[in-house]
Amino acid sequence: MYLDKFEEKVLNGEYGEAKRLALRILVSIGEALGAERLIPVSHAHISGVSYFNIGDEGLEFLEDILAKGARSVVFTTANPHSIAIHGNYSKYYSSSIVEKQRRIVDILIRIGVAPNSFTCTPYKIRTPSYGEHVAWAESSAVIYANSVIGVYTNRESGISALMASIIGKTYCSGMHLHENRAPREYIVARVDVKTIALASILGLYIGENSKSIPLIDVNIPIENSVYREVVLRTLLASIATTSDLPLAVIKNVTPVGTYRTTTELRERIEVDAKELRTFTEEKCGSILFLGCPHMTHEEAEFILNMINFDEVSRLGIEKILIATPIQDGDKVYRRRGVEIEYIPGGCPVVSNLTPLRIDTLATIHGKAYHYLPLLSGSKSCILNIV
Amino acid sequence: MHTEYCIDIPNIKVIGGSTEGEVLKLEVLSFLGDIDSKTGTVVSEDTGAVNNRIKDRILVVKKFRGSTVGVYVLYSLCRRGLAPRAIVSREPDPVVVAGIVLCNIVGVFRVPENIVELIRNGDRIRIEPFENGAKICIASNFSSK
Repeated sequence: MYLDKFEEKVLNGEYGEAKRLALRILVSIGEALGAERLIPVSHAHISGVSYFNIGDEGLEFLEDILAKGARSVVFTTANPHSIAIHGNYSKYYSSSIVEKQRRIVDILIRIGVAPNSFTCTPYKIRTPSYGEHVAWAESSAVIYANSVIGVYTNRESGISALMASIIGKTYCSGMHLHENRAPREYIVARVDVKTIALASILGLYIGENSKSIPLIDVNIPIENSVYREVVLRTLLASIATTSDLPLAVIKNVTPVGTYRTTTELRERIEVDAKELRTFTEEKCGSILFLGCPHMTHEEAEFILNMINFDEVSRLGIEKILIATPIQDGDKVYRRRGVEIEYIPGGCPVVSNLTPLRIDTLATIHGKAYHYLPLLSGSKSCILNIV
Repeated sequence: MHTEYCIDIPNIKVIGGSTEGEVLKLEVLSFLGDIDSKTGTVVSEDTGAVNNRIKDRILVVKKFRGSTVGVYVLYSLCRRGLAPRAIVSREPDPVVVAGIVLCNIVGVFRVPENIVELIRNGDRIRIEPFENGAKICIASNFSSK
């Protein structure tokens, strides 16, 4: 890989051990992926914030890089933490777990992560401009950035995004190069996506069945921009759950000019309703989880206004838990007899829910549906209520 | 009965050097969610390899998916001595490549789809890189199939 004089000095340790290690990791990954050079980035977004996911080894890695002098040199945001440090939930966890989760957040802020971030929707903290090159981890944010905003980012790992934050550059390969942003297969959805839940099961199906970047022809007959955005976000997050796709070109959504249109589409897949997994129609838990990816208060209140609360009660839902970006703050209130609770900066999907004795979480989001049983110890189901 | 045959494949990308070992084949893999980071055991049914341990195996993965936090899981497995010996697949997943680099294990990518299909669970394979490619030797134990 070509390195300029400054980068060579960094690699020789002239700017400290943290920068040397960060650049060595980025160069090694870049060389393995065939990158010929590094590319400057304007925004890094880090995943791997929940103690339940990264464990003691991850915490030690962060301690070590901080001790070596790591500091962000570009604007940096980070993913949600677990709910172990949320005021209403810390009592369910041992003091050791709470302390270690706090420590992770503290280290990231000391390195330079924006303290008001801790969200899986970094574009709600700072929306990059069309054509900007960034280094984002968090699969749902990466696919949203490339496919909707027209931003250029690879699906960075949690660690490479942190290294990019320290260097201000990342390896220039994959999605940073226009020639690679080319759909290779054509997917036609023979179902109108009118709800977030339907976007979830369609997205999970597309992710499972795609072998390469798809061009998706899907009708989303929703005029309201708030609802439409949440539907798109959920569709893409679900695709990124069951695939490693950093980009899915959606007809009339993905900005023209940010992907190649001249390539031959080698396969055509048609999807209709009977191929999609079915929704749960009966009671499957007393808590409904919204906000995967995070929803702002404004978005969530809009969604709540669309929900038929008689139907919610029939399905046995007593509480709606909403994960939201940190600046939106705490809020608990009741609506039509159902408790509504916002969790800013946190995410139940990346939290061990066993101590809370939650057997099943109902949701409308494909990503939460997939990961809850694997990560939280809670079963999951998708309700087609909005 | 073991029968070994070798294929020279151009344009394969090898990270690290030569390796050999027993194959654990997975239909799909995300290190976060599909692998128990404490034990290195596969926990997801749809991987086709549930309840198998990945320690010292050569993982042949048909498709990667999901979380960018997988790098921390692979890193933790390495620190605990539970890592696979190598990871073999078609396209390199940047999240997995980052873990391979941090762990100093072998990665073999851009393997043609028909070769990935050819390799079966329980086979012993040997991978020897050469300039812009690699020799892959497969020894199948037919009596156990």
